[in-house]
Order: sequence, then C-alpha cells, then structure tokens
Amino acid sequence: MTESSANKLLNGDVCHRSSSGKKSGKNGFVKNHCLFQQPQKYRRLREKNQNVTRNSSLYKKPFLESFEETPLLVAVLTYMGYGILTIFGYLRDFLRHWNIEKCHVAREREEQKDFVPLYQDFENFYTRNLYMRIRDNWNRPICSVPGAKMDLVERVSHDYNWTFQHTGKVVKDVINMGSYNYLGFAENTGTCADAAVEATHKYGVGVGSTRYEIGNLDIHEEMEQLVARFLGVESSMAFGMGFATNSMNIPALTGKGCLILSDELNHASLVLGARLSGSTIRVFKHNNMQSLEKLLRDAIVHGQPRTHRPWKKILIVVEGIYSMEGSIVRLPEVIALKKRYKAYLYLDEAHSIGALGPNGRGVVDYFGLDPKDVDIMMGTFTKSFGAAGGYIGGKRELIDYLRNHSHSALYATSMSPPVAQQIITSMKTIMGEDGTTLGADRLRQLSENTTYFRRKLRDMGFIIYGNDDSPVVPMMLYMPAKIGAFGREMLKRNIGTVVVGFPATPIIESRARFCVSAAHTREMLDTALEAISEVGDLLQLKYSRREQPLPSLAWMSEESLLQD
Amino acid sequence: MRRALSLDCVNIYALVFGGSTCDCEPAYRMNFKNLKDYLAWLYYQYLLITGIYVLEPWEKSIFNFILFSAIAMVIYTSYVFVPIHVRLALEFFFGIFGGQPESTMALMN
Repeated sequence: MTESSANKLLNGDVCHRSSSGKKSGKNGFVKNHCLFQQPQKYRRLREKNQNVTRNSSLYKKPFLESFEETPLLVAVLTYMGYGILTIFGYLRDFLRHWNIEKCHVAREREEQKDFVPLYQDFENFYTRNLYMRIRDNWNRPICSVPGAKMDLVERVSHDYNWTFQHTGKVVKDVINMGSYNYLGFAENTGTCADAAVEATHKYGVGVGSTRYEIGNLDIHEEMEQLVARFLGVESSMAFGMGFATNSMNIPALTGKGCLILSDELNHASLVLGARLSGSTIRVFKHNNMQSLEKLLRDAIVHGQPRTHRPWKKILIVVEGIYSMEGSIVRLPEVIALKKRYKAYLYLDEAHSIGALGPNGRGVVDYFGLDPKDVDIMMGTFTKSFGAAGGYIGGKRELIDYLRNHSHSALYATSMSPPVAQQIITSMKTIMGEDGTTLGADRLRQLSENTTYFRRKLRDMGFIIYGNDDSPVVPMMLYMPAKIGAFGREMLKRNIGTVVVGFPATPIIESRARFCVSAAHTREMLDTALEAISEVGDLLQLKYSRREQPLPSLAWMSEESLLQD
Repeated sequence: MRRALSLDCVNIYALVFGGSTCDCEPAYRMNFKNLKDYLAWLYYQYLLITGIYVLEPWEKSIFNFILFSAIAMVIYTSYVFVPIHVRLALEFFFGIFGGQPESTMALMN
C-alpha cells in the first residue's frame, strides 16, 4: 500500500504519446488518459537536462533553461577547500573553548554549561568560522538611492570582520548589480517620487491602524483595484510586507488535512507559511514536472496517511522566477497538471511581476496564459515597483475570505500612503495609463539588458544558471574563498554585487547573483562586464566547458536591431 | 617575448592544476609582465583553491608550514628510500624473469 503506484506508471509503457503531440485544449488542458508527463529515460546528460523542453506543445516559444553541470575537479577542490576551512574552524573553536583566544560570539554562560549545548550545530559553526571571515561582503551600508548607481559607506575592520568601523568616507558611483530594481523604479526623482511626496503631504507617512479597523484609506482601495486590473483578476488585496504576504496567507488558506506540494527551492516565506499552516508538506524537485505529477498521483491514490481519507485541498506552491537559480517556472505544465488533478495553484510572482512578459504582467503574461487559471496570484511591490509590500490576487470570494481570515490583514498596520502612491504611479506607468510609453520602454530595456548581459557572460565562459529571459543572473563561483575574493575584487572596481553561499545555496554551489535592471545603460553593463571578465580571469572563474556556439542568425538580426 | 612567457605560464598552470584548464579554449588570458607577477598570481590561485585566502595570516602560515613540511618530508623520504626500493625491486624481478640458473632446466628435464 505504501509502495508508490505512480512509480510503475511512470516507468511503464501504458502511455504512448505520439511524438507529434496530441491536440491540447485551451491553456494546455490535455484530454488523453495517459500520464501527462513523459517518463524521462536518460536522467543525467551532460547538462542537468533542464534545457530540453518536454511537452513543447504547451509552450508558445522555446523555453531555454540551462544548469551546466559542475566540473568534477572543481567540485573536488571545493570540498577540499571547505575541509581545510572546517579544520581551521575546529582549531579556532578549540582555542576559544580553552580561553586561549577571545570569543566574540554568543556562548553559553557558565551556569548553563551542563545543559544541552546551544551553539553547536553546523549552521552556528558555519557562521562563526566561515561566514565571519568574509562578512565584509554583506550588509554594506548604502547612503543613496539604490538605483543603477549607488554610494556606499566605506567601512573597515581591524579584527577580521568581527567589528566594523566607518571611516567617514563614501565610495561614490558604484554600479549596482545587486538590487531587485528590475524596472528601475527605485528613484528619488521623477513622477513616482513626486507622487509619493504629494501623498505624504496629503496623508502623512504612518497610518496607525490595521486595514480591518480604521487604517483603510481610499488610496489603498484605489491601489487594490488597480492591481486587480493589472493582473487581470477579479479582486486583489495588498499587504504591507511581502514576506508576511506569503507566510501569513498560506495558513489562512490551508490547514490540517490539506496537502501542500512545494517546490524544493521555494523561498523561505513560502516554507514558513506552509509550516505554520499545519498542513502536510511534500516537496517536489525543482521545476520537475514528473516529480510533481508523481506526488499528485500519490496524494490522490493514497489520500491522507493512516486514515486514507482524501485530502481536503491540494495546493501547489510555485514561484515565478526562482531568485537563486534564475529559472522560470514551467507554468503551462503546472497549470495542465493542476487542472488534470483538480488541485489549487499558488503562484508567487515576487521576482517575475513587472520583470517578465511583454506587458510586464509576470510569468502568466510571459507564457500568454489566462490569469484565471492561477487560483492565487501572489506577488510583491518590493522589486519591480520600487516600493514595499505584497499583494494577493484571485477570485472575489478568495479575497473576501482573506480579508477576514488573514493574519496580516487583521493584525498588520496598513501600508504607508507614499508607498501605496509609488505603487499606483509605477503600475500606471507600466500599463501605459499615464499617457507615455515610459513603461513600455523600461520593459523593452530590461529584456534587452537581460539578453545582452546573459549572452556576454556566457560567451566569456562563465557558468550561468537559469532561463535566458530571467533578469536574475546567477554566476557560479563554487569555491568558498572565491566568494569573498569576488565580492572584494568587484568592489575594488566600483561594482556592487551580491555573492551567495551556504545556506542560501547548496554548499558547493556558491554563486554571484546579478540582477539586471532597466535603469542600467549599455555603458554601465559594458563596464560591469569588463570588470567581471577581468576578475573572472584573475580568480579563474570561467569554468564553462560548453563549446562556444556560432553566432546564429537570430543573434545577428537581434544585433542589427540593437545597432539601429 | 612576453607572449612566450605567458604561454609558458599557462603550461605550468596546466601542469600544476591539471584538468581545470580545459582543452577547448584557454579561459585565462592573463598577461604577465615578469616572472614575479606570475608567481604572485600562482600563489593567489593556491590561496583561493585551498581556501586559505580567507584565513588570518597566522593560520595561513600554519597551513603553509604543515603543507610544505609534509611535501619536504615526502621528497626527503623518497630521496632516501626510493633508490633502495628500486634496487630491491629490480633484484626481485630479475630473480623471477631474468637469469634462470642452468640447474633448474636440468631438474625439469
């Protein structure tokens, strides 16, 4: 009974789909009675086999995504590096334990010594002995608007990053490759900023109550109607914090007896929300539709554990763009699966809203699907709109229910009016309702920048993860020392980057993450690319072993377009 | 001249770090003015790959000391013992394949 039935189905020869692909209905609803996902016979090709589009009939344009495999030698050397650092970590812990050197971090008090140790797990060890050594790459104070260029507060550390002193100087005009400023609305001038100032004059900044009580302003209602119109859904609701939108609304939607199917790389807010809800959580492999379908089938066949009653609800939780991998969800396939197995779909468009699609309406727009097929459209205003907060869009009943049941609707102070105004103005710009083409220009600029930046990095020989259209560009660094070295060397060349290591990524897949923005000019990107190439040579980061593709005709035409 | 030097550098790098330099296209196009720069760069690569780049100087010296003394001991012991072992091995194999004494032939007959 516990043996999975789907395994057999997955590998069996029940399903014979013609390679030409059967006619699929509207929005990818497939009527045939065999497994929707083709079993994947050859698991490990040279690439992680993600760039091969299966079910290509569902996609209107090629879905190109690649995750080049880690070179073996690099992986071995990376593990060796971590091994050496771990040994030195133990040495330092030993010295601290015997008070040979001063301990700068929290530790148990004398009277607690005999209790269960508090700071002994691996993450504490990692923070103390590895992260601390390269901590200067993170949390750098910025003292200007984090637009395409920014000013950084210079700081130094005299005790190997345990404490920092500000020198009082400012590092001017650092090119910002790290902010989630996809459409470049993080500005202190222009229509959005002016409108926000006006809203501050009218409403002030604080609201001082929750939406449920007397913190509901007309500007909030206006914003919600606009968001619903922008998304193409019946109704929507906005929250003051993007993270809380996820973590507080999922518990309102599911509970005991429900099943949440979550992508393994989902953001912490989704994970937290799923755990708070008390539902059973099952995790499928990243963007892997076979894995999702298998879980769905198992859930339907077996029902709840022990009782075998059917699940009350099955909620599939996916993200639009995964911020660490730069991959885009296979939404047409997810929707087809959701329809086939009658599950609900929660789509987190934190990164994709505004950044994807011909009209900037996120991943639904990108694939040309119907927003009504997604039950819960979640997103944030933090990224593309240059504001703060999050929203949930969907059917009117859903939103009305959430207004009365969501913790962040009942207990959280409502959104600050200038922030709401920034959202309204920037969203209207994107929709072209301000009577200009500025929004369309930004969208075009973003997609051009993304294509250009990704192509250049790939041509230089770096390993770049993710979808070709995703403005999040992760570049692999692998070795622990290179995380620190890359951040420092880039800052020396006046470019601010985000470097990411464990625990945000698997331990050997440390990376630098660039976020392309519409605010970047071609000159800025060229400067950044030149510096990246230089640092890449210096640190030997050009790991890619793929053969350099010949410039295809498509590229030529694109290039000539750009020349005009 | 410079070009020749950098080519040589590349070869040494390939020797030291093996497969990380791929055959398809050399990913490194560092131009070195002189040997000192090149050695500094090699040391930098050593720091990065072993991960001791992030360590404090005294830890670096400990690591270097241990590593180089280990290498020195390996070299020394091989200098002392390898000739003896080679000689013994040669004698052994010579004993098997080499000069079979006439008497065994006689015995077999």
